[in-house]
Amino acid sequence: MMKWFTLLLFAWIFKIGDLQGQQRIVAKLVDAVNGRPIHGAVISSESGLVRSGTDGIFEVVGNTDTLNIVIEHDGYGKSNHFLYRQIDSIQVVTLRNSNLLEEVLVSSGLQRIPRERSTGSFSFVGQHTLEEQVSFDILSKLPAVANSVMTDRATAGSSSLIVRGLSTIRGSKQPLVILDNFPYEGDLENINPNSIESVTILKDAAATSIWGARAGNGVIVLTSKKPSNVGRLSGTFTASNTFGSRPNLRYIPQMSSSDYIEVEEFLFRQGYYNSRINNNARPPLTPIVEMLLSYSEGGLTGEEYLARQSRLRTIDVRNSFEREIYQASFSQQYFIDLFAGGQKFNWLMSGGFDFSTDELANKSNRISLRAINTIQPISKVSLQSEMAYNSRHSIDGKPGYGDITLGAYELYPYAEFSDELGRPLTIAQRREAYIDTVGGGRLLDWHYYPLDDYRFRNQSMTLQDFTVNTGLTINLLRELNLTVSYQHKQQHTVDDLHYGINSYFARDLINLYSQLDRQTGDIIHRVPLGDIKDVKTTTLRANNFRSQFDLQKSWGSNTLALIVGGESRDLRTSGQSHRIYGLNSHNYSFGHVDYSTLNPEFIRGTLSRIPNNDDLNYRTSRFLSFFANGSYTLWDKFIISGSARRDASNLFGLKTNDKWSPFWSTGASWELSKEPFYPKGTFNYTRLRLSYGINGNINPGMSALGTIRYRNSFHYIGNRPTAWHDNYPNPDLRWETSRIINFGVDFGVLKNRIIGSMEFYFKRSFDLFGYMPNDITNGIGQEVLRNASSIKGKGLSIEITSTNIERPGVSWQTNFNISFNRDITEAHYLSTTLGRDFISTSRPSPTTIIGHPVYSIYSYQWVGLSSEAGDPIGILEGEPSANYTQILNNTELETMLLHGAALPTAYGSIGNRFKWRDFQLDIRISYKAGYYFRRYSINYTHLFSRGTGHSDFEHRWLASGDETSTYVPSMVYPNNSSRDAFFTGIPELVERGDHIRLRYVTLHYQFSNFKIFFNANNLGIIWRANTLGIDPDYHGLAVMPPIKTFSVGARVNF
Amino acid sequence: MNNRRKNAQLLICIAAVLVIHSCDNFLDEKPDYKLAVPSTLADLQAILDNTYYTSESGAYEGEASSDDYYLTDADWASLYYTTDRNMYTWDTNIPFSDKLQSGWSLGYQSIFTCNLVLENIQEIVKTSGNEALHENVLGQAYYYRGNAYLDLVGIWCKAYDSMTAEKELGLPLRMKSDFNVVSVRNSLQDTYDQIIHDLEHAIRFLPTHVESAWFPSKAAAYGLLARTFLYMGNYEKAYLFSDSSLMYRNTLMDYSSLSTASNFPINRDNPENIAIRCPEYLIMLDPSYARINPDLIEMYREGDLRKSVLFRKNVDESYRFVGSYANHTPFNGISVNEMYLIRAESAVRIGLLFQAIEDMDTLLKTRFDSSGYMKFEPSSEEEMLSFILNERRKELLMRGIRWMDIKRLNVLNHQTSLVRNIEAVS
Repeated sequence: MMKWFTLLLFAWIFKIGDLQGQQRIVAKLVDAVNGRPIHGAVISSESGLVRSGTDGIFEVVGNTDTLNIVIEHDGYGKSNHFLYRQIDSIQVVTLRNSNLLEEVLVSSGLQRIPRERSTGSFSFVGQHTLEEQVSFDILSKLPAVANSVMTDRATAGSSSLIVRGLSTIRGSKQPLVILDNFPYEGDLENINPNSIESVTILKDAAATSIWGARAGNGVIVLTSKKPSNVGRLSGTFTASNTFGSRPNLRYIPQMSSSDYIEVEEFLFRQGYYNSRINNNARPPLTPIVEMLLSYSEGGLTGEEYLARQSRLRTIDVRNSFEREIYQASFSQQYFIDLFAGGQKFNWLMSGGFDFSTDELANKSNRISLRAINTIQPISKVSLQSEMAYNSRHSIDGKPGYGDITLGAYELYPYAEFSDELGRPLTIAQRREAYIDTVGGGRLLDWHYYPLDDYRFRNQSMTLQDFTVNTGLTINLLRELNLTVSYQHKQQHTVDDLHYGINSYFARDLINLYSQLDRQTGDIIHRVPLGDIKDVKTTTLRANNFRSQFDLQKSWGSNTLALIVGGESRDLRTSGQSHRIYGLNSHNYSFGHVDYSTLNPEFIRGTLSRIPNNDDLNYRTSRFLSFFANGSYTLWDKFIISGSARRDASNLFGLKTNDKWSPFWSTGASWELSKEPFYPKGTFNYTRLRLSYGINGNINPGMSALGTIRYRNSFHYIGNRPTAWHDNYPNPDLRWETSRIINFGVDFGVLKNRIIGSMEFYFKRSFDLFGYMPNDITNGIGQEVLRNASSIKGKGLSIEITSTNIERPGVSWQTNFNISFNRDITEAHYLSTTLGRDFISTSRPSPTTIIGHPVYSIYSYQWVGLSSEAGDPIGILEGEPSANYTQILNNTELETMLLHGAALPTAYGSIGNRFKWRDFQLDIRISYKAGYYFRRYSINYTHLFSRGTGHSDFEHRWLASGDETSTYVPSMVYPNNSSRDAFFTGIPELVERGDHIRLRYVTLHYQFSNFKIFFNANNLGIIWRANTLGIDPDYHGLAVMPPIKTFSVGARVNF
Repeated sequence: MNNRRKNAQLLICIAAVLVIHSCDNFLDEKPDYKLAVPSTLADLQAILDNTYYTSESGAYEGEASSDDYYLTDADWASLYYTTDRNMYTWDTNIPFSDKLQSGWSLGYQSIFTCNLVLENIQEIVKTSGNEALHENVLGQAYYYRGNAYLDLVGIWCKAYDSMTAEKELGLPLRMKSDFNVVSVRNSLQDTYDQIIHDLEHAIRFLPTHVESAWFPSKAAAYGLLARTFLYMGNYEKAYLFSDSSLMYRNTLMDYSSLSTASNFPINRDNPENIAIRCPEYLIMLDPSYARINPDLIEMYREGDLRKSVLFRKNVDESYRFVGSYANHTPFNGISVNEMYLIRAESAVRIGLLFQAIEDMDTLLKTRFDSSGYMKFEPSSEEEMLSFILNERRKELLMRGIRWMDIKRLNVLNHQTSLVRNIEAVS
C-alpha cells in the first residue's frame, strides 16, 4: 500500500556494535527535498518506541537482519520501512513531507496516481488535516479545509456542497461522492469519518469526465484506510468527548411580547378576529384574544384584564425554551483500528462507536465495523475483499423553537409552557373553552401540553447498512492488469413513529372521529382507542460490477498509462409504510379502522375518511457505462492525457438519452523545472497544466415525456386509483452539459518551503434546468423546471502551503486557500419577466438578464417612506407611487437595482499550524465574500394572518418625521399584502454577505505514541460586513447558528 | 508460444465479461413503479380521477364578486390578501401574485390535464374490448375542458353578444399540453365555439349511466351545454339541452325531509346532483365570513322551506349559507333544479309559457311545506319571466351562477347594478 511519501535508502552503512546478542541499528531521518534532518518522528519497532533527535538520528534494536519499523511524523505522515543490519554505516532514511504536492496520491476513484502524473485539477485533504476537526460525518469537514469547496446556503432550500461554482441551477448541486471506487449510494452519515484516510476533490473536466453523466457538479472521492505491509500487529485507538453549548435564542429576531400584545389588542378592536370566532371549526385564539373576548362579553373586568395582560407583557417564550427545552449537547466517539500482515496477506479491522445527545435531546448512536484483507495467493493474482457493517439508531427528542404552534398559527412570544409549580400548561390547538365542554366529559382530554407531549411521542430511526466489496487483480502480461470488482450494498431503514394514547396527536384523532349520542352518552370511536404507530421500512440494494484493464508501459523516460473498462450499476429502493390504530403497546393487540367510509368529524360534522398511511414504493435505477482513460509521459516532463465515457440508463425518454454525446476530456502538462534552461534559484519547481473537457449532469427526475405518479389515496367513489402529474411533457428538453477549460500552475519556492498551485478555469454550461416563472395559462403552475439558460463561469483558485518557520522544536506552517468564482447568465430562453418573481427571501430565481450573476439579488427602486403615512414609496412609470399592485405587476427586472451575486464570489480558508516541542496548535478560519443576501423583516400580512412577527416591528414608522430614521413601514389596517411584497424587495433589506468565521482551534499534545487533543468548533463569526449581527449562513425567522462544540480526546498508536 | 496463447484466451474471457455488462433488457426496467408514462386508459382515468385537476377545480371568483353575500367591514378589513379584498370591491388592482392559486390557474390546470389526456388517448387503439372505457375517458376530457373554459369565460370575459363576439376578446384557447407553445388570446366567438365543440363531443362519448355524480354523464354534458346556450342567449338550444338533461335525470329532493339543524344538511350524493363540481376555496365565501344579503333572505316567503334548510342564523342575527349541494364545500356543478330553471326560462322566452308554469310548479312543490304552497299563475310572459328569475336567485345562490346572470341579463337591459359599502376602517 502506497503512502504519501517515498522511501529512498542510501547505502551509507556504519556498524555500531553488538549489544548482548542484539543488533543495534543507527539510522538518520532526512527530508528528501532539502536534506535537513527530521526531528521528533516517532519510530516504532518490535523493541518499542523511540524518537528521532534534532540531528535526525535514532537507534533501534533488533534480533534479525532486517527490521520492520513504522515512522510517524505529523508533517511526513506514517510510513513503513525496513532497516538492514549493515556493518560500519548509518542508514539514511529520507522522507518527503506529505504536504508537498508532488508526492500526493490523488484518487480518481478508478485509480490512484501521484499528482505529478495527472493533468487534471484535484484538491487533496490528508488525514492529518481531517483529524483537526471532530465531527460525526466526513463531508461537513471539507468546506473548512478543502480548496474550491463551499457550502451553498443561498440558493437551495437545504444546504449542499458546491465544488467550484455552478454547473447546474436546479435544486441539487450535490457533488457525486465516491467511496473508494464506487459511487456511494447510502446515507452519507453512515461513513465514520475516522475510517477515512484522505479526500480528493475532482474539479475540472479532465478529472471528472471519467465519472461521466453524474460528474457535472464535481466529484468527491473518499479513500478509506487500507491495510499495509506493516508486519506486526499495529493499530490506533481514538476516543473523544464533545460538549456543546446551548443555542443562542437571542439571535432569533422575535417580536417583543409587548408589541405583539398591542397588535392583538388593535386587531381585536378592528374586529379582525370576528370571523375566526364565528368559525365553527373552532380555530384557536391566543390568551390575549380570549381575554379580550371575555372582557367584551362581560366575563372579565377591565382591571382583571389589565393585570393579566401586564404580566404577559413581561414574558419572553425564549426564556421558557432555554430553561425548559434546550439543553447542552454531548457526544462521544470511539474508534479503533488494527492492522497487520505482509506482502502475501494483510488485513485491517476497525470498529467505531459514536453516541450523541443534541440540544433538543435527540439521541443517536452509530456502530461501524469494517474488515478488509488482501491476499496474494500466487504471484500474479491479488484478491481484495472488504466487509463493512454500519448501524445507526436515533430517537427524536423535544420540539424546538418554531416547532410548537398555536394550531395553524405561529406561537405567540408570551407563551408559557409550565406554571409556577412546574405543571405543564397547554397551548391551544382549538378554542379551549369549546373543547372543554363539547364532549360533556365523554371525550379524551383535548389539550396539547408542549412540555410533556414528546414523552408520549416516540420517533426512532434504525438503519443497518452492509457492504461487501471484492476485487480481483490479475497480472495478465507484464504491463497489463485486469481488475474485476464487485460491490454489493444493502441498507435497511426502519422509521418508527409511535404516538402513545396520551400524545396530543392520538387524542386529537380519536376525538375527531368520535360519535357521541347526546341522549344516552354512548360514544363510538371510529378511530379505536389506543396508540397509533406509523412504521416505514426502506431497503436499498445496490450492485456494482466493473471490469477494467490497466496498462502501464515504460520506455526509458516515457510512460504510457491506459485504463479501459466497463461497469454496470443497479440500484433498487423499495419501501413500505403502514399505520396501526388502536395499538395496545403492552400486548400488541390492535384495532381495525374502515378507511373507505366517510365519517362525520366531531366538531363540524363534515365528512372525511380516517387518514390512511399505507404506501408502497419500488424504484430502480440502472446504468451501463464504458470508459477509457490514458496518459502518455514523454521524457518525464510532458504529459498528455485523454478520457472518455458513455453512459446509458433506464430513465424514461430513452430517445433523449440517446442524444447524450459521450463525455470526454483531454489535457496536457509540462514540468518546466526539468528543462535545462530553467533557472536554478528561488522557484525550484514549476509545472504547467492545461485541460479541456465536457461533462454533464443527468437529472433522473426529468423526461421529455409527460409522466404521472400514482398516489396512495383514492377517489371519493370506489377504490379508484388517482394520479398526479409528475413531469410535464417538454419536447424541447435537452440535457445539461458543461465545457471546462482549466489552466493550472504548480509551483515550489525556496526548496519547497512554499508550495502551491494556482488554477484558472473557464466554464460554459448549456441548457441548464431552472425553475422559471411560467405563464399560468400553460396550466402547470407559476413556475416550471425547464432548460432555462446557459451560463458562463470563470474562476481562479489558489492553494499555498508555506513553512514559515522550521527549526528544531518549533515550526509554523500556513495553508491558504482562496477561490474566486463568477457565474453569469449568458443566454436565457424566456422573454422579459417581472421583477417580483426575483424577490424571494428564501430561494432566489436564476436571473434572465444576460451578464448578471446567475443568482442575483435585486431590489425595487424606492424613495423611502412617505412622511404622511409611513408608506414605502416606489417608482411607477418614473413617478413616485404607492400603487403597489401596479408596481408589482409592471416593474420589469431590467429596471430593478442589482446588488450582486447571491453566491459568494470569493471564498476560502486559512489554516495555521504551530508546533512547539510536543505541542501542536491548529487554527483555521474560513471566509466568504463578494455576495449579498436578502434578510427578513416585518411582514404585516404574515403577522396578521399567521402570527409571524419580527423584531423590526419596533422600528416601524409611527409618526411624521420617523421616515428620516427608519425604513420599516407603518402598520396599516386593512393590511395590504402588495405593500408587504414591495417592502420585502427594498434595497435596505439587502445586506452584504461577506464574513470571516473562526472554524476551529485544535491543540494537540504528543508524548511518545500517545496524543491528547482539544478542539473547539463552530466558534462563530469574527468579522461580518453587516452591522446587524446577522450570520449570513444562518438567517431566518427561527434559525440559529450552529452551537459551539468543545471536544477533548486522545489517540494512541501501537 | 504456449504462454502467449494462454494469455490470448484469458483476454477473450475478459472481453466476454465486458459484454455481459451490455445485455439489452437490463435497461428496460421501469425506474419507479409509481410512475407511468400515461399510455393506458387506466392511466388516463387515474389522472381524471384526481378531482383536484377536474371536479374540484372550479373557479369561484364570480361568486366572490356578486351580491348573494356581503362582508362586514371588520371581516373585509381582516382579509389579508389584497387580491381577496380588491376582488370584493371590484378594484382593478388584483395582484393575484400574493396567492398561490386562483380560479384562473386552477381552470388552466384542468385544461392542461384534459389536453394531456386527449393527446395520449390518440395513441391508444380503440377495440371492441375497451370501447366503452375509451369513449368514456375521451368524453370526460372534453367535458372537463369545456367546463373549465365555461367557468373562465363567465368570469373573465364580457357577456356574450352575438353582434360583437367576433371582435371581443375571449380566452387564450390552449389545445396542446406542451408548455413551450405560447398562449394567444382568441375571440369571444372562438371561445364559445370551442366550449360548444367540447361539450358536443362530451355528449357523444359520455355514458348515460354513471356510478356517481362525481363522474360526468350525458345528462351532465347536456346540462352544461344548456347553461352555455343560456349564457349566450340562445334559448332554443338552452331549452333543447336542458330538456335532454331532464330526460335522463329529473328527481327533486323534498326539502321537508332535510335537516334544519345540522351544520351541513345536504349531502353530496343527493338525487338532484347530476355532476358534482366544487370550486376553489375563497376565504370570503367561507360561512364564517360570508353573510347572506338581507334582500335575498327577504325574498323567501312564509312556508318556503329553503329559508330554514339553506341558512343558519349567526350570533349577530345575520344568516350564513349552509345549503351547498356539496355539503361543507361550495358547489358549482350541474343539478336537476338548475335544469328546471333553465328550461322554464328558455320556455318563456321562446313562447312556451305553459311549460314554464309546469316546470316551476314541479320544482317549487318540493321547496314549500304543503300548507304554504300555491301554484304560480302569471298574467303575462313578463311576469312569469321575472318570477322565474327571482326563483333562480333563491334556488341557485352561492354557486357562482349569479355573476354570469347579472352579466347576461344586463346585456338584455336588466340594468342590475351592484353596490358595495365599506366604511373607512380606522
